[in-house]
Amino acid sequence: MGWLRNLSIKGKLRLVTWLTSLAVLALVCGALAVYEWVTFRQTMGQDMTVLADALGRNSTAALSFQNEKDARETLAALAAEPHVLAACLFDKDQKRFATYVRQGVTAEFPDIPPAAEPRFANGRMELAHPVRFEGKPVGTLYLLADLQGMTTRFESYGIIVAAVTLVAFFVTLVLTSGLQRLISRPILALTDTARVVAERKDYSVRAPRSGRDEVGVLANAINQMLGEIENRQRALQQAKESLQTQSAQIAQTVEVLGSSATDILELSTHVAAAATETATAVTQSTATVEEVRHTALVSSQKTRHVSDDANRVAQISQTGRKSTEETREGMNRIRAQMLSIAESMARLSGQTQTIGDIIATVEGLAQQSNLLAVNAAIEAAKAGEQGKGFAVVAHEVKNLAEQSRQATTQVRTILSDIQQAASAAAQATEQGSKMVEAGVQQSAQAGESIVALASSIAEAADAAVQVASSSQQQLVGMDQVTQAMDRINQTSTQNVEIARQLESAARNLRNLGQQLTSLIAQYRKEEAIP
Amino acid sequence: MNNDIFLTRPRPGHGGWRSRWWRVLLGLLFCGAALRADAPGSKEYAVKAAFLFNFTKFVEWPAAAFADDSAPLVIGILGDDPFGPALDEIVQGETVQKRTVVVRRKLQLADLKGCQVLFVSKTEHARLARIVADLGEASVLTVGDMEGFARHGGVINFYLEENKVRFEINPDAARSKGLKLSSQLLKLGRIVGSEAN
Repeated sequence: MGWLRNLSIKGKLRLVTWLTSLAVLALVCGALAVYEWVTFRQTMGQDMTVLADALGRNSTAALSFQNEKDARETLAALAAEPHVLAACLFDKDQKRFATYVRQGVTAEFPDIPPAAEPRFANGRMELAHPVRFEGKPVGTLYLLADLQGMTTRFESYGIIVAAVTLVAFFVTLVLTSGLQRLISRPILALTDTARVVAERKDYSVRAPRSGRDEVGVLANAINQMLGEIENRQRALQQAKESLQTQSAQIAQTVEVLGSSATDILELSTHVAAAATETATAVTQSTATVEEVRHTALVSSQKTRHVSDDANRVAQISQTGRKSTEETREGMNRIRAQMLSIAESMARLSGQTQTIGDIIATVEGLAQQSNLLAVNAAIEAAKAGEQGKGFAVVAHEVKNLAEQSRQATTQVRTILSDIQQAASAAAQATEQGSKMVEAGVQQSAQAGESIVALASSIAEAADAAVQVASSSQQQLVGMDQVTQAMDRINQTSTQNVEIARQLESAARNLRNLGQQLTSLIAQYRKEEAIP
Repeated sequence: MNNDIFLTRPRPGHGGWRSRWWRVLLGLLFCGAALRADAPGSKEYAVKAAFLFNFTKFVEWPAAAFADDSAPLVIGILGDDPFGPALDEIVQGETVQKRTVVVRRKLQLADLKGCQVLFVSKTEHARLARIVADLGEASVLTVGDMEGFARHGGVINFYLEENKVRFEINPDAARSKGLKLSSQLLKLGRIVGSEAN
């Protein structure tokens, strides 16, 4: 049945019409034929009965008066009825009275008349009609007829049916040619529209209107669908554009993020270096302080021995002078180192400030990124399916921003710690400087005192006591300085640690920034394809 | 075949012993012949009786011919009755035109008009003219089987042709009597016109 499906509408129409016509014709002919068949015999029987009756009436006299000649003449009138083959009149004793046989026909008459009902056999009909006169049977008329009439009639029917079928065939051809156009043309127009839309991907094309039948409804539905598609296409285009803008923005932000991270990285390196420097300086200071302490101790010891050993005063004073000289030098060194520490501190502070600025920038960036991510998420939601990839990207960005924010917060905390420690250190350093100043002064004094030692031993002991106490004070001061050094050392160590953390955070940020860039680049590539 | 049948009897005392037996034999032969001659004759009259009865079916009498609706149809026989019981048998129980049929014999001239059908026997040959005149225009179907019956005013006359019973009809006579004869009857009979007597 495949061929049937593939048959054109014209062909289908034709086929349907032919089949319908044929079916109708067949039914009608069948019905007529059956009717004819059924009624023909009836009609023929009736006709023959009427004929027999008439002839019988005309033969009553002949029968009554036994005039065979007259009866034969009466029967001879049957020559006019072409379907009657033979007739035989029987008298009331059922003996043959008169006969008639059509020319060219051979017929056998029964010896006695058969039953009255018409009988059909061998293509012939025989009928025996009683002849009555004044209510009494006077004889029987037997008729033999052929059924040629029916055959002829059926032949005629056959010819008519054939002719009508032929005419129907041609009428169908003509009608379907016209009808199929009614149906096919709108369908073909629709097909063209669909093809145009598919080829050119132009959704502004519309199918031509075509009446209110099923095809017209189809055309309207298709137009509606095209309109919908066009709208969607437009919305999609808009979403795509906005997505692209935003992804560009995000890419920019990410770039900034990346560079900021790099900057932070550098700075943290610097910070680390500075901290290391500071640590070294502190270590050095501590070492120096230790030395000073040691020297002070020695000086203290020595001056304790002054009263016991005045002789060695000159030597001792010399030694003492040397010592104080050295002490002063040491003080100077300490001071210089204090200064350098102060400088480092200042640098540290400055760098901490810079870091603070950078952190602020990063924070700002993180906030921006967050906002952008939110925007992007919204756009992505608007774009639906196609924005899913981008939604992921936006989500990642958001995460990154959050992480950045957290890192900045951490860094800020650390920075404040640093600042606190730095200020504590600065304080301590200041204190230390003050102490160093004091120490320097006192060393100078000690020197003068020792120089005056030679002239005054008596004052030497007081002076020694003074020196001892001042040494003691020195020691205290040294202790304090040592403490301050320790504190600074701690702070430096902390700074180093902080710098390391900062470095790693900055590294992470940079990595994330790179990931984001690659994601966005990927997304933009995907977007650029259609 | 002659209509007249002559019976021959052996005359007594005519001849000797031989001639007497010879005559008896002859007589018997003749009797036999006569008897045989009678059989066809009776058959002929059986047929004629049937025809006579059948005529009533093909003739229409005016209403005045009957006393009333229930009056029977009378078939009268004037003169010798040649039919015998055959006619009675045929007529018995039959109705023609809704009337019973009755046979009357030994009629007098006065009774003639009371019949619808009158069969005039050969024996009345001599009185024929008078009978016809007497009947005049009375609606009586006169039937005979003598030569010239129809020509002299009778309506139907039997005759034999090739051993078959036929009849001739005088339609003028029928018309003058107010009788309507069926065309079928007229078709079958030989038409005869009245002769001026």
